[in-house]
Amino acid sequence: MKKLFIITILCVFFTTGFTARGFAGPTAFEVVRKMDTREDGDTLTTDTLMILINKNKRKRIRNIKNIRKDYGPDTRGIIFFLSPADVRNTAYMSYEWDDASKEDDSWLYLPALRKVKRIASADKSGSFMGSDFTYSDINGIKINDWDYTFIKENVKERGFDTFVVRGLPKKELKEKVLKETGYLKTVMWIRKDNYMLVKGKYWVKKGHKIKYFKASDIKKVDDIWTACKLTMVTTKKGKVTHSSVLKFSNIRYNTVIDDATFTTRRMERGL
Amino acid sequence: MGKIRISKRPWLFGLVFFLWFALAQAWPGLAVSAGADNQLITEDDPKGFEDGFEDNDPFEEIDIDALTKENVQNQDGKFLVGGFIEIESEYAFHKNDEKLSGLKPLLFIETEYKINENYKVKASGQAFYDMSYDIEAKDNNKGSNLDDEKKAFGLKDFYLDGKMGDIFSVRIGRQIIAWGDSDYARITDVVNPRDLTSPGLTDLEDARLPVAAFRLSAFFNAWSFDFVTVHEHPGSKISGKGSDFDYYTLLRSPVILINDKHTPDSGIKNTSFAFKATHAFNGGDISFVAADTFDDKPFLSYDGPANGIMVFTPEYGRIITYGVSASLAKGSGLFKFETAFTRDKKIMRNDVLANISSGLDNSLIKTTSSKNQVSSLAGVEYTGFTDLRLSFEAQLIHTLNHRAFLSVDENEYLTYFKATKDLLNETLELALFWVFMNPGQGNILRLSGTLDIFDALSVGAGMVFYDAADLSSDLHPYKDRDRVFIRVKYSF
Repeated sequence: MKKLFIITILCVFFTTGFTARGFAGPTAFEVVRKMDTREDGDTLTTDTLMILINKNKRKRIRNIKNIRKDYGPDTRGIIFFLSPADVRNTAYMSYEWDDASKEDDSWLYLPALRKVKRIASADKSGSFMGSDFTYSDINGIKINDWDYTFIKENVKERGFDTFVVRGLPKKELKEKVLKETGYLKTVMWIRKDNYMLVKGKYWVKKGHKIKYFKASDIKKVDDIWTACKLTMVTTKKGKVTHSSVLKFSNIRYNTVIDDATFTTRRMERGL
Repeated sequence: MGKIRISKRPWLFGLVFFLWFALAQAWPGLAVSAGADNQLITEDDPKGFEDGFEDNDPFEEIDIDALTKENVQNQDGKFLVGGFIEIESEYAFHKNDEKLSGLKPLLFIETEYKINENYKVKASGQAFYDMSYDIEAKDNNKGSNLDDEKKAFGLKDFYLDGKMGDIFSVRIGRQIIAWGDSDYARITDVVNPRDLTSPGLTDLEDARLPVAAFRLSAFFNAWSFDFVTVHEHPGSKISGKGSDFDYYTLLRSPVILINDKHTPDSGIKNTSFAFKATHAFNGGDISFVAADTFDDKPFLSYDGPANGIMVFTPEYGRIITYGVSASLAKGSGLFKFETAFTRDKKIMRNDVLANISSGLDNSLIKTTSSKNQVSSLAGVEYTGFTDLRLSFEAQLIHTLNHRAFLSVDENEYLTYFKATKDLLNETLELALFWVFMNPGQGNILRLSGTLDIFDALSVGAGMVFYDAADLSSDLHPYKDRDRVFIRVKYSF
């Protein structure tokens, strides 16, 4: 159970897609908003390989099956853990509501207990399955809680033009943002052609750490821009303490997924 | 090691907890004080960031391509097999009972065969042999019957699971059906019996015992329904004579003989029924349960005297349960409520031996009295601290129309507290579990830690303390059973 208490649906980072469009002088907030609202399909299924690497380069590997479906502005998702053996058949399900007044609903199925239980998932600053990604990294942050400014409006990143945007929590929301994300500040590299987040830096209050993010293997899948590999590295005093890689395969958008997939009974049945 | 007497120094419970909690909370804080770099925290110069990537690229040593090829799972496999091998050792360290109390290799295997998209068969089984019984010659005592605790070989799950359209599904065979919102108490979780042989030592994962059952489930929007028939009634597993945790240890005497338990047979007339309706809504779930099942705990029937010895047999009564269970999530808290009305529960009388000794005719000897009970529980889980989970549950069992001759109090209380801290990117878990019984009736405290050496191999260790100063406490006979344990587990 310990590995799985706070987990959520892998969707925002790797379902990023946006048809390239022209723009004229967007503000930093508009750039972030375009990044946040990119097309990501009505449904998604994918296999995910999570690799956790500690400072001694020892690796731990998790295999995950991820299924997501949009219900209008709301989203339902379910994750099945395929390996390692001690978490096999564990499942996590969430209903994410667009209505800000509603908290997300989350359930966890623990095969060892054969029990589905609801879980509280408000704290999004916790580690996602022991990785360097947090709940808020995976689910996405509330962009309206932040002030954004351009650091540079045109920087080449792996051959592509990017905006470099600094994000700081709004003064009146600083404590709330800190509780939800754990971050004091972010810097993001956002590609100009498709508004994908390709690089990032995150200042973490707890432990005084800095995290570096990189999206790579970016390509169109079913006509949707998708990053197939995400890396997050945690550093302390400039030295790497831990890093995590999410690698996606068998990505399929807009397939038919029946509603019975997102039920507690399905969590018990497994894949 | 082993001379701590928690029962005589209850404040040690609090001290141990405080030290444990402080250590768990301080871990990241200590790291900060040892190596904080506050300059980095206020840095916002992207030039420095660029330099960081180019001169000391934090991503440069991450090459996962080979790993990817090796480790992507085959999703379409029809046949899956897995399991684990575990070596578990326990040592009783109390000065009055110092010995090797467990040395158990255990093999667990589970398989799954997917017949098609909608149907699959699952089977799992385990085998173990506790060598400490031979080493300590524990089962050499006359009359001891410890085979079930010493060794086991058999099926756990064995069922066919089917999905019929978008609404219905069935599961037929030996299975575990876990109901209720409490993690610990058995209030509306009425289908499966439990393993009560080693209180405090048995992991929650191993507590429920599978039974042969038929389960039909249906989903309609936010409602789900389960109808269950149960065809096997083994009762909860209890320790026998000679065990450290002998269930009837208070009754053992040269003039009392307690036979092996007599469980209901699996005939049609003994079929049990259980029904649950659950409604999921934003922020919570609520379930309504009705069941007609056998009590998981036995009562003793009096068989009469034989050669001057009073003979009793553990049997199981049928009970009716109506219950409600709910959980509500708010912020970082999960609030849990559970209550059940139980009808016709056979409760042991405390005047049985006196009545027998007084020469009352055997036909007039009553060992039990049927009473109705209300069991209620409230609890909360809090996850607002990073990598720390706190869980608290308080249970009240109220016996209606209580009489002085009953062996239970009119109101019995049980309190459960658990704290779990994850460290080192969830490779190390520290846990504290504390069960607090009626005031003065005793406590069980368990401290444990599990370290993942690598994905497949973990090592766990811990200590369990039993505190029961009150002679009338159910725990009192076990007050000297304090344990230290270590477990090595390899999963495959």
